[in-house]
Amino acid sequence: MGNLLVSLRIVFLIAMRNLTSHRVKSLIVGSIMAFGTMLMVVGTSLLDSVEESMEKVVSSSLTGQLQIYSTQGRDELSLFGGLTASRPDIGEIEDFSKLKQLVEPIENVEAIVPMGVTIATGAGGNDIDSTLADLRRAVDANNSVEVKKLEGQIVQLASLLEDEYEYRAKIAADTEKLEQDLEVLQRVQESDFWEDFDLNANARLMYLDTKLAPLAADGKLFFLRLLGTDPQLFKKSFDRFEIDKGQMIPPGKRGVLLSRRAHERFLKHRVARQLDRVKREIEVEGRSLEDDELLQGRVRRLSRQYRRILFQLDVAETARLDKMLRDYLSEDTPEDDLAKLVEKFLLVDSNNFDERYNYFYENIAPMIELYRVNVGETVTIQAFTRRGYLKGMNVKIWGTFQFKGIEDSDLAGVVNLTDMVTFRELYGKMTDAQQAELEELREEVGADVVTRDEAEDALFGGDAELMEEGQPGELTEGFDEFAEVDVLERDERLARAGELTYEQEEIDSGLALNAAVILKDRDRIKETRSAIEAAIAREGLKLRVVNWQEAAGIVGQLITVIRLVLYAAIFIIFLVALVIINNSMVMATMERVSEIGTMRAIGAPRGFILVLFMLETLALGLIAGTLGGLSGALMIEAAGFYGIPAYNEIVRFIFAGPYLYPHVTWGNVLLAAVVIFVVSVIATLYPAIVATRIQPVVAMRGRE
Amino acid sequence: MATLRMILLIAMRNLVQARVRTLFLGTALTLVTMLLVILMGLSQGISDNIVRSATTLSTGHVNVAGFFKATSTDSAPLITDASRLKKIVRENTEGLDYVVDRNRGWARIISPTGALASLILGVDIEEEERLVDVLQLAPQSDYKEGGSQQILGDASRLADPNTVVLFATQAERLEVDVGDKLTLRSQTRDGRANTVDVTIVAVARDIGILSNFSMFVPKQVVLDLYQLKPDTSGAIQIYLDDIDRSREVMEHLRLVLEKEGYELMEYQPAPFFAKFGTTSGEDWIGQKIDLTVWSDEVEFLMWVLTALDTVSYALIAILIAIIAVGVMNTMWISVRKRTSEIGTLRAMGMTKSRVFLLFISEAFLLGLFASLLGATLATIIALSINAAEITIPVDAVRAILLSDKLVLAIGPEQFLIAIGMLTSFTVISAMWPSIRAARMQPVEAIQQTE
Repeated sequence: MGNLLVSLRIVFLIAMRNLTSHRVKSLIVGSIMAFGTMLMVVGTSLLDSVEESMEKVVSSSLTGQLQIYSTQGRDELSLFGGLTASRPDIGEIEDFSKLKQLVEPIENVEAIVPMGVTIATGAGGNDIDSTLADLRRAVDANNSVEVKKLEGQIVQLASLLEDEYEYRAKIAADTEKLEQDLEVLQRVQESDFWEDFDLNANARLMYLDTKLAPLAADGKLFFLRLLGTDPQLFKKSFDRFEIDKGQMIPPGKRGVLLSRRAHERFLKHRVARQLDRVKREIEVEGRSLEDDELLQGRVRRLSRQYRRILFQLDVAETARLDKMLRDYLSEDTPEDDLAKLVEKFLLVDSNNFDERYNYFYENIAPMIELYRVNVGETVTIQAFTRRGYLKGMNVKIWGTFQFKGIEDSDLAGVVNLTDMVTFRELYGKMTDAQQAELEELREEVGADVVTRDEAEDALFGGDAELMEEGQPGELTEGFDEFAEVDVLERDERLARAGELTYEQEEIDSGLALNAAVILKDRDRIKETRSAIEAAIAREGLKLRVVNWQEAAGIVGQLITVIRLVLYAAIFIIFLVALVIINNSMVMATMERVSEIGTMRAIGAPRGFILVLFMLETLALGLIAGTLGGLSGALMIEAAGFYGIPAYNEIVRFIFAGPYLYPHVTWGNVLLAAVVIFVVSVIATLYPAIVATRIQPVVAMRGRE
Repeated sequence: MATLRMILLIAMRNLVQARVRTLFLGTALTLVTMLLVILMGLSQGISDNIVRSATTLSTGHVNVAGFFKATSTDSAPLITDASRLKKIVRENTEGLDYVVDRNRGWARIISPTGALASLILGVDIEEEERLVDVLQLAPQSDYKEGGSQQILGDASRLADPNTVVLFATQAERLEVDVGDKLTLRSQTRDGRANTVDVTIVAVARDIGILSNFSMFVPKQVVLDLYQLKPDTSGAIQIYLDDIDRSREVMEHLRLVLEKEGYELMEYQPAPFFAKFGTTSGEDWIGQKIDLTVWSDEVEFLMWVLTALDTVSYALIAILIAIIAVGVMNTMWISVRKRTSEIGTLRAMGMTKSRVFLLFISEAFLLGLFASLLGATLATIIALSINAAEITIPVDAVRAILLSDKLVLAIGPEQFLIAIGMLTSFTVISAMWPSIRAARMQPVEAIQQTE
């Protein structure tokens, strides 16, 4: 025993001496090892942090830890977007309550939340719409002064439109249609249309609504990705969820909650949005208005958007803004009109950007419509049902929401929430009663099941011809469910949209497209997944279970791709390092031929030489690995302290936010240690074997 | 000359004598060269793919497009009097290969069993003979389960009215085949829903992710769908003999069109669909012309190339640093081992610069042979990968690489760059040990060996 210790001590001492005496070799091999370790620690830690932040965003905003959906669909679930521009067909979970009963009792399942995504378009109305609404109110209130004022506005709008319609003749093929439209515009401007307006108010309003309003149809269409769910359960299960503006959809009430990101990015006034964007590019991406041409181009384009502000001002506001901007810009050019002033104001540069940004929000924003849809409003949205019909309905916007800690992630803001009942209507799922009624009807008329293309044909006509104009009083766009309802009732129904209710049972019993499963212990995801799969198989349901990464779609795969690239890179680096280290070691061995020969000559066994070599490399590996690992960990911790800024949109997306705060996972350090150990051993193997083969006699020959 | 030959011979002999050393270092150099060539080939392959799918589907080398605003809040991606504009372009473009113009639309495509949204590109197939060559038609089995290997249809039948050529993924999704009918639905410029029925005349192989969102129809289909006048078009696409001259040609055409009295939009390097918002808010009515080069129209894809190049460069830089350290170490040992030899050479009257040259030559030869071998091996690997037509299994990778197959494009350029780079880095790394060798005093050198 003592003997062994002594020889170990000797071996250790010789190894240390060798390391210090072959300084250049040790330094080279050591630095390669240290560098490799550092790279591994940094790379894997960064990647784990990215994955973690992405998991945080994905699972705590939408997917939960597991998702369940049908096996019968044609496409895979991709909640954050897939590869086609069409709505993916992921099948249906016909009766959610059945699944709920099955999954809820499983150990480790905290909750199961029904879901379904559809895309809806909404129209925020246009200038004519709001003027007509004002007119209707004035008529109701018998306010003839107001009616007179609004009459002037409508005539003005119609004359503007008439000019624009003449331009359309340059590109339009169907001049007949244009002439009809022009007739409407001229009719509205005629004085006899207004003379007996009071007497025929309803008919005239109808004419304006149906004939004039569609002509200004350039409206403000916007898209909403709507996630139908059980709002109360969603709030409880996704604990980062919080209300930003307005209020939560009250229990049992129907309506929509907008995501704050969607509200800010897609529904905000374009000028404000562009200003926000410039601000972000300066502050987060570190770009400068002074020398960044792309950014300057953005500002120039922004300055030309002054109409978007002017259009939303009334007479008093126009005068006020004119004076304010004249003072602010201290312009002494009376010939400049307000358009010019606003354009000048918006042409910001690096010196005045912050000041003007604040000025805009303090003084100009209150005068304009900062968002297309405001909290508390009721808006009309439409969606294509799965049969291809357009379904329209009024929904109340209760508020906006965000997820705590990931407020800035674009990814977390991709969907807006609504209740399951509203979703099912937009999706085109009929209730059992409606279904039964339809079946009866079908039997009576002997009609076939309507397929999607027939539905489209029925709606839009099967050939290239435009849909024929309908009867007077009927809208050409066949989606407005209130089209033939009395106008006053329409207003009333709009007001009532927020009052529609449903029972909890309605949410549970019925269709869902997918379901999120929230776990109590998130680390036991695999185990619980198998348990749920087993339960589903037992019941013979045609459903499958996927984890958050699979459910996210292409976003989830992205991480896998980056990981693959990183591992490939690390593998290649270590492979080359291995060859180089091996090479250096062989060189060093050659130099020590006589020394080793001498050792062998005085009785050192081959094993001794082998151990000596291994120990040398291991000691070097240990020192280099520790140094490299530590410096890597230090770098990561420093980066975690300051945060790594996402310098462009793509990186922002990958980081799932504007900054990444990485931290060291000690598992990675350990992994790096193991890898460096293995690499050291392999690299030393050949030189060590070469060394053991050295015959004692070589030493005798010595220096010839 | 003779001395140079002698020096090279000695260097060669040294390399052969130190077989183990040469072998190890050579292997490392070969490995890194291989890697460099393959990474460059991958980057080039992806770049080629982007250019190919972009110039087939969505852009010319230079585009003369524009917006027409009938109302001040409108923005339609249209050009009026397309034939006049086309004539001007044709007469004023140097190095022109050919010019086409295409109508653009966005429609919902409906089949009896499915629906999807896609760009529809209105083409005049007689004008676009190239398109027929570039679009490889897909065998039926590509889009239909249990389909035959036979290629049905013919893209040149786009000359017939109300026809469509779509891509395999779309056909699979819509569950349709050549001869079937599709309904295209969109809204006319004044907001009315309108439809056109078309017959599928061919199904083309996918060209990366862009082909999921594009299909070809005769021009008249787009005009009908949007109820547009005949001489209205979407974009004039200019194809040049040399794609690298795109920017120069665009600058020239801007001046020409300005002189012709056209109003131009400010140059904005972005695809046309990213410009709707800006133009609809601007205060003008009528026609403005917008010029772009091909990379602007696929700007949203260029990050893939940037990312790939960044990763490649970082990886290569790290590897070259490691290799440099290795070369230096080896040369250093070689210098020390041959101290007496150097001393003798110097004593015999060899000048310092010759000694330096001797060691540098050794590194040069090693670098040259190893990188030549590496580049050759990499080319063989790349060719066999291409021949094997490996289908990429992960959707995300397919989307990122814009290709269904793994394609490495290695040309003489990549080959020579790799060899040049590796050889020069080897020589540079050998510089310091070689200088040390040259500086040795003959007497000391011989003494040291005692």
